[in-house]
Amino acid sequence: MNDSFNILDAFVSHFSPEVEGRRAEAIDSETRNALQRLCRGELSEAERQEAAKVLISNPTAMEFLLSEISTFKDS
Amino acid sequence: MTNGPISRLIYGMDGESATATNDEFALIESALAGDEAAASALRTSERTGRLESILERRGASRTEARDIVADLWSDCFNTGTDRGSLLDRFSGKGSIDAFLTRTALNRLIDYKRRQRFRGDLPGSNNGDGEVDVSDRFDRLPAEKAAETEDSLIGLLRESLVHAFRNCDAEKLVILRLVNQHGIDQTTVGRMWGWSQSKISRAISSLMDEIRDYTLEELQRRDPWLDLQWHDFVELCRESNELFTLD
Repeated sequence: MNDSFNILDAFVSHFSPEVEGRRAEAIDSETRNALQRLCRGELSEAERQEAAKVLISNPTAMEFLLSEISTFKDS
Repeated sequence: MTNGPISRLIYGMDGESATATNDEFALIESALAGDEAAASALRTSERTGRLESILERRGASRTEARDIVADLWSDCFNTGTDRGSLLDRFSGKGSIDAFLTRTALNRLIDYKRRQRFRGDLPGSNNGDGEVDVSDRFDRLPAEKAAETEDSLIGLLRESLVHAFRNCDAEKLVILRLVNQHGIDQTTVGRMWGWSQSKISRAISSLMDEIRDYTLEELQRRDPWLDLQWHDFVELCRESNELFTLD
């Protein structure tokens, strides 16, 4: 099942790179703060949904979150 | 291209090579140079039957399948026009059979869409208060000389983009974190304040959402096309491989 998702996600990435979610843009301090709080499990449901939209639409935000998760686990 | 289920299911070819062989290229070059024997070796009755069968299984009538495949063969060896031969566009990514199958499916999709569009066109008024429907199709813009867009890929792409845009954003992020970035479900559960089992259910339900939205859009765009979810995923996989085979 998850392999199917990777296939579909890769397909969209290959053939529709312009789709929202593929634009790498710098993230502002407010977004950084929200993602750090997400990492610590501190966001409300509404805040999580907003954060999710940002994470889908901006690979830079996802990279930042992954970095934060790694830092958080190591601390 | 691997000899996976799609090769058997969609292309109906077992034991097929991933890319064109030197022999295949030599055969194509000879055929294009006017070698009748080489052309016959490519245009076998077995290939013709297989292509027709694939089209019929995907929603073509018997007549439509025969016409499309006959045109396909004609274009393969038609070197006397500006368009050139269809085989000139064969890059060697994937086998010649996969290339022919994809082209045939594209043409079927184009044909069915034109057929539907023709039925939707308003007729023109002939001045006597009567609507003349005879020239509907003639007033359509001419089809591009070359098959510049892969209709099949376009259909898969548009259906999938529709699904991704409509499915739950949180679940999509969770699935990417777990599946693509290797973050364990316990960690993601802590971030979301969810149990691991809830994370697992979210992932599972997202795949159901993507499937349902995709097939819904597919049905809306081309209701005649008989494509199952497994077919869809495998066509995407094969397309990914075509994209990365350099």
